[in-house]
Amino acid sequence: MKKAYFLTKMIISVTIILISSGCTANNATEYSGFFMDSYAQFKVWNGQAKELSQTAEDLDALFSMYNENSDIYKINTNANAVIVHDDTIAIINDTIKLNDEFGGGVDITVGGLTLLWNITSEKPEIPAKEEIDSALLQTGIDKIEIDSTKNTVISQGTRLDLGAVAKGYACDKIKKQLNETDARCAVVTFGSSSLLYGEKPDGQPFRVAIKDPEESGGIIGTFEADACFVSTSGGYERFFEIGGVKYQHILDINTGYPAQTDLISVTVICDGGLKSDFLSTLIFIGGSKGLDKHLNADDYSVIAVTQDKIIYISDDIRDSFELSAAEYTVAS
Amino acid sequence: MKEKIEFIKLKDIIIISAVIFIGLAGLLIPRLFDSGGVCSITLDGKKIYSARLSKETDKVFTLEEAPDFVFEIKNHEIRIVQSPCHDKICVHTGFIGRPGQAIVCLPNKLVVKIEADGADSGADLIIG
Repeated sequence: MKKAYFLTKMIISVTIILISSGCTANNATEYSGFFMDSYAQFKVWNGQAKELSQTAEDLDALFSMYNENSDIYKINTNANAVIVHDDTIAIINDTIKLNDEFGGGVDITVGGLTLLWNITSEKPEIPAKEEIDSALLQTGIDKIEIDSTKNTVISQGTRLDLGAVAKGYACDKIKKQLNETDARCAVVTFGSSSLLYGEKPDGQPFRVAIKDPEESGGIIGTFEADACFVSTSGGYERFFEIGGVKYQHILDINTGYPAQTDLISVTVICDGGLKSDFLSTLIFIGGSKGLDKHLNADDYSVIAVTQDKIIYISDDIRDSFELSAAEYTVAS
Repeated sequence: MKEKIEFIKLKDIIIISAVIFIGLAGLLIPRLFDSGGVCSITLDGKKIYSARLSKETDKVFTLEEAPDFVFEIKNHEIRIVQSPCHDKICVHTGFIGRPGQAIVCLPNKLVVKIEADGADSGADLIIG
């Protein structure tokens, strides 16, 4: 009999030791690298972070408009039908669907304008009006011809630039990849687009902090979320100045110029990576005047910050939002 | 007379308490000594610098592997003062010191990162 009690006590002791030490046992792997013009970070519990980064690398090789071996480069420089990878067909088709649902504003045929403005160059200049007008003529997502059975794309004179959606698509693909593994939790981020996967080991919701675009190193606030996709659009230091005027890097397909918006940061939380990426850019370009319908949308949540430092938050995440920067005000 | 068997004796309570105490101590002590994270600087994935900011004194320095960069540590925070890139996004980022924060120079593939020690205390993700 005594043996049984001894055993019970041992089990209790060992359990206590395991609980107290095991709480912090971190069986996560991490990996980081440069993909899709961003610094990407991968962290996965019960899985291999490096395998996830391989997916990002592969997609980057397909989607880059500057890499001569990429599908997009081939589509852009070829007048005829180009046979492309399944992922290339999928990202174009998915973006067209979002365009149909939410309207234009984010257009992946913006590539000609991207090259014309060349804002990442050493000394960006404002292109001539005629150049912008002619580049605008070569945009329009409806021009692209896709044959999903033959996996071919014809650009019809447009130039594809997947910058606004590639990172979101990568998050979608990595989620599918994680579903095939034993991974229980993962945090994958390309800076502007991220995937929060599964449930944290401590069972708590994910805590997400939004950078302050105006204050380097600062945080506007944090919110809590369960598994989801999160994307943010904003000027975020990627601006350039010409003649004292500050331009940010997101081009408006309607005007051909960098988007004129009174928003400085837009975060979208939803169940799709491409969708969150697309919507954050769309809402950012649209400005505060179009905000109401997005704030009340059923299938995604929004945190939008205006130049006047007012923060608009969808009802479902408002409770968990914690303001960190005193100069901002949360709209009621 | 039948022996009365106590399930838990005083001695056991002492032992269990001691075990809990040791467990908690092991959990909390490292955190007490580790306020602030470890700062690392990587160049194209290769680590070229590592320091615990809480223990560093204020200084301006360069690194042999990235000679065109100038870094500054001040009040246990770090920033890039000079960079060979043309967009200067990394310089504009300013000082960072909180776990999870990073300064990224995309053109040169240089990253200054503050890594969290032990259990995560702050955000799981910083976006923007």
